[in-house]
Amino acid sequence: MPYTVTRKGGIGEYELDAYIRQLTRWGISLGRAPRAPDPQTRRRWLPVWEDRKTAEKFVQDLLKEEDYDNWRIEKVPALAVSEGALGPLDVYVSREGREMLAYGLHPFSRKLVRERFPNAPLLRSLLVGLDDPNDFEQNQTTAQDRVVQLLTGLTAEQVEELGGYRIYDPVRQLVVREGPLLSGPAPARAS
Amino acid sequence: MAKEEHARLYLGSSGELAAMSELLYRGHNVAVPEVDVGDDVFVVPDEEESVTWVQVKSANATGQHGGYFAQFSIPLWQLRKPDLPPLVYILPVRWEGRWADFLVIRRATLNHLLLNHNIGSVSRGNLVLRLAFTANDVRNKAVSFQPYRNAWDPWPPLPPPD
Repeated sequence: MPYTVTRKGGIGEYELDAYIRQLTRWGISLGRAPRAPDPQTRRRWLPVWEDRKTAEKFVQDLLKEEDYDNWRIEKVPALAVSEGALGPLDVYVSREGREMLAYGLHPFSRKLVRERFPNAPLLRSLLVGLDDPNDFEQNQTTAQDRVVQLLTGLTAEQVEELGGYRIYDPVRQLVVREGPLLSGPAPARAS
Repeated sequence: MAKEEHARLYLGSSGELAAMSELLYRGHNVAVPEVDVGDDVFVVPDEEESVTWVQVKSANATGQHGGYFAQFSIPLWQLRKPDLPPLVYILPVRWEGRWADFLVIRRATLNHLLLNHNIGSVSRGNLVLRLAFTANDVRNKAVSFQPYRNAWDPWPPLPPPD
């Protein structure tokens, strides 16, 4: 039975940074790994290990290297396991004045894109001028899709392949747009 | 106002003016927001009329074997914002009666070091960064900040590589 490591209620913003650092120390690619939806939220692909001992070792190393605790090891149904990217992409947004929104990819999401699509023409950030930023954030989901495609240089299908995206505002500490609900094994596609 | 708070405000303003003085000396114009809304940020228009935001965080250093150390606190929410317009941290360090060092580091670079090298520690939503200065190096954990020591050129500093 495969296992993954998560936290109660899902992995928060800063805990996720620690988690990904540990994945990097273990040499696990963000772009392609055995994965399953987070059993707590089903909103993020997490790595899976074939045996509990390896998952325990990952938690031990995580506790040793990082400041966060309360990690939990959870069983994952074999059918939920697939191979692919550990998305979704994390897009950060901030309000600049009354009429602009600045967007940027979290650096680990840039890394994810680079590992999966090495030639993607990534943008560092994007400033969008708007009549009504509230309306844009709440209702203009298609336009947000286009913002993410511009930032990543990827098609809608490629973004979906990475697990979609979520938008987070670090100033308001607000999830502006949640990632897609992940269901079942999603077959990885070739780049 | 408590004496300690008073001293902190004076230190902060003094560090800001020292940073502004260095920027002016190097040919960069500076402007201070007319109204202080809590952020000690000012802007530096360059020749292309683009603007760089600057956040100054000053610290009094404490002596230790072979050098001195200084501690800074930086809000995590600010580090994680998209770096547009670019924001540069200037960290002036007061030691032995003078501004001995300035760390000049771009927000995206500091965030890169935090994410990839786990610098400092996180406390109450802030990155707490204790830097140890010696004649030839500035360190936190295993990371050298020497490349950012008095690194006024180029302005603004370049973003980190991927």
